[in-house]
Amino acid sequence: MSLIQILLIVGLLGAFVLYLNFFRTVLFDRLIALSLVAAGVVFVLAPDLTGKIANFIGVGRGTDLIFYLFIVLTLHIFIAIYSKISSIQQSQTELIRALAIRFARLPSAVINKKNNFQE
Amino acid sequence: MKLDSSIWIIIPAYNEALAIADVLSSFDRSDYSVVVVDDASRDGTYEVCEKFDSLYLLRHLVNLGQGASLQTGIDFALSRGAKYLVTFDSDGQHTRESVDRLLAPLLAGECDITLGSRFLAGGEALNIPLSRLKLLRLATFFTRLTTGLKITDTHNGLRALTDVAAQKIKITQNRMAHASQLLTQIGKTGLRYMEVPVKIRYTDYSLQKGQKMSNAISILWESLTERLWR
Repeated sequence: MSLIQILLIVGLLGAFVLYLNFFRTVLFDRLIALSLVAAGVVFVLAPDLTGKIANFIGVGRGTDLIFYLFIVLTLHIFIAIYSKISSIQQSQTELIRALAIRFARLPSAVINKKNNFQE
Repeated sequence: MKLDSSIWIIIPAYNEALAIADVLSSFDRSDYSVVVVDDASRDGTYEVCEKFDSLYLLRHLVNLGQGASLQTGIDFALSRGAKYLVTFDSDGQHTRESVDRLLAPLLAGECDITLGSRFLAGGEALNIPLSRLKLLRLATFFTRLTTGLKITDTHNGLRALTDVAAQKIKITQNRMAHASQLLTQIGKTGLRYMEVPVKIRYTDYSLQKGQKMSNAISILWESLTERLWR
């Protein structure tokens, strides 16, 4: 096994450990993550395999195939994260707005009027 | 300032401790209700406003931007029964007389929204630097293209709306692109709008604080991404 293979496998397994630590996902999601990592390890150990798959679907080299997939996947992830940030921003705005309105400082005359009503 | 007038002045404020007292004083003897939305200022703007007893004072816990502040003020004013809403800057650029000019067509039922214009006959942009003037011309041209509204000015912050119009407008652009968004929504909702000449005075203070050249690019960027993502 070459040095780069060891590095890549350690990196993949490390990512899986991080995933398990940060996300309290259900068993099914963990199995998907595990199979993705496992596939990665297999491809690292048997680089010729990606070459064969690449040839089969009409891409020259295995590295190119991985590269193309990486671009598409990154794009998807970027859009997903951006839309998540947008929706968080929107709910944050609504929350802060609601608080601002709820805790508005009213003119003292308005407060006095209210108090008189209660008495 | 009155307690629950049918006319509400909405003043978004961010770090305007030096200028806002004068702005608020100019409304002291008016018959309007005034609401200030402090956008999490760090210079004591809120404390300055607190001294004005007959004012409605709201505070964002986190800085959200001028667009968000305006929407908060609009929501609040509507909840207290506002019939006419005027948006007014806190940096001293806007003049009190402009408010009556903006309101007149609304009170007469001629339209739903009035937009202040510096460049209409009778309007004025006092001490405006040439570079700013050129930038504004460009911005106006761009806004005409994107909104389809035939306007002579943009991004000056002075506007008046009826309650019906205010309920139809929903500002989701928290930062500066809200001005363009508002115009786009006027176009889409078919609200009747009218431009009214207003006087805007540029001071060293307001120039330093207000829109800079570089902001124009971020406003453009915000407007474009808004189109992409929604």
